[in-house]
Amino acid sequence: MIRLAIVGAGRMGWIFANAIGELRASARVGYVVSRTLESAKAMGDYFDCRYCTELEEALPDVDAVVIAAATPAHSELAITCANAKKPFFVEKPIADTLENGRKIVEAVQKNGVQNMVGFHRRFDPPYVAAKAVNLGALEVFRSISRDANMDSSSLEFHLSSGGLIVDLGVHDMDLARWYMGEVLEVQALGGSASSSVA
Amino acid sequence: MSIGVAFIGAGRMGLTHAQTLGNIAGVKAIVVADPNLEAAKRGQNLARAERASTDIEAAIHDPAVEAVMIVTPTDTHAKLIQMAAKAGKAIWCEKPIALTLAETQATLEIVKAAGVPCQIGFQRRFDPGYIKAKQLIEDGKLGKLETFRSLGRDTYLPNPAAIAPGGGTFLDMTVHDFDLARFLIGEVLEVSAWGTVLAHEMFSDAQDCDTAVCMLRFANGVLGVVESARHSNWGYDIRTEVAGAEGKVVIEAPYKTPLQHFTGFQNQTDVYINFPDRFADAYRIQMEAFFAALNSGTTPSPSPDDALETLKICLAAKQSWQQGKPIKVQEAI
Repeated sequence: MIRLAIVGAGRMGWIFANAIGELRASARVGYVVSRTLESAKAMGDYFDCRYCTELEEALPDVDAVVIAAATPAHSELAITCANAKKPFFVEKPIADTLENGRKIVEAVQKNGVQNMVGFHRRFDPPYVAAKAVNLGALEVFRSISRDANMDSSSLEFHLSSGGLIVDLGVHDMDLARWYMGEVLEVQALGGSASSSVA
Repeated sequence: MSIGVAFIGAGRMGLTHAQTLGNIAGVKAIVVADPNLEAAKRGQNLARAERASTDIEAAIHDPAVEAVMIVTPTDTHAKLIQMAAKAGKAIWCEKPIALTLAETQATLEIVKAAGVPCQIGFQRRFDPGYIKAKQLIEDGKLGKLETFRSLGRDTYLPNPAAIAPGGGTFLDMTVHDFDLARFLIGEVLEVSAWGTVLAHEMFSDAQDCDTAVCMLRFANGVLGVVESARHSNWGYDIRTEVAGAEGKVVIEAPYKTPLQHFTGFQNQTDVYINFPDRFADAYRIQMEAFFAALNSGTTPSPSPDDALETLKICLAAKQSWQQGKPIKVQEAI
């Protein structure tokens, strides 16, 4: 039975906690970590587990960590896990800057710790089935992502998430690499449908 | 009172249109003309015309002819449009008018000066799916428009000798999607294109690409992606999508025969083979629209101006691909 700490008691933290609940034979949520004590307590009480505001406090009592905090917190949390030799799963995008992303890679390589990034589409059955199909020499890749409703996320989220391409488009970028191989060059056009986001 | 028609050009596309003409009410095909008499006779049969001829000039000037339909090779379009306009005839011509802005502009001016009706063959505007899409957009059902996506994949590789005379992929094939962009969304400000050769070396031999992706920036803020490819082992693949704040439309014919065959845990359907079957309705409706415009005295659409503006987008895309940078449509050469 793997005991997991979930860092981040926002939308993704709850989604992971619920998902882990379905793995009842092999894993359970042992700890909820959130900078805001009330959020940590609310989630901890709901999933009947311990909670705290600092990852270091939870680490000794868990086997692995799920990092579902806001993007700017990813690199510090991942490096803490790596240095403590705790395997971790980190939500996409790996970090808010290339530099912070590289630091995570270095920490992981230095400590030899298992890790995974949350590109879940690679595990979605239709995507898995498509990967197995032989299409001959590949020619064109098209990927479209459109989130349902902007009302459900705040301006604060938009500002800290890295923006549309880093936060949502990253899934399609990962699929591009997974299906087609390395990308040489990118051209992009962007515009704003909502005045609040601009 | 029937409209007398001279039908010029009985090649592959010509015979498709000749057959459509033969089934339109209120028109009388007077003559089908083609440099090849055998081809002209095949066209005469299909169009139910009074006669076949190799004399194109005489056909255009025949006093019984009120409208001239031009389905000849691209490099003759401008000349024939100009001749028909000066002869005071109404004109229907396959796209494009010409491969250069100068020739297209010159032709436009002659048609305007002659004051004759002129319609250019962008048939997709007349496909029932696209007609409905246009209607929904105009009725505001999609709300403020946001994105445009259009992809076209030809089934069969062309005759290598026909690639350059057709103008290459952007001018011969992507032109339809660029026309749809203007028709459904609005004017295009800038194009950024990538092209490559993946299907066959005949395209690199002709200095053309066979696979292309273009990004479009529209004057009204909409962003677009257009994709073209010149071979398809699964059939004719034509799809367009317009998304707005209130909804989206997807214009697509997922299968041809209205039948699904379920067996062995599989579901089989068939796919449109090529443009003659996919756009059979559009070819008929566009021709009916032309003659209806003549009968009602209204201006036919799409016009030579539309052809000129769309050519600018094609040339901008081609230049963008060749130069590796975005090109403003009004600066295309």
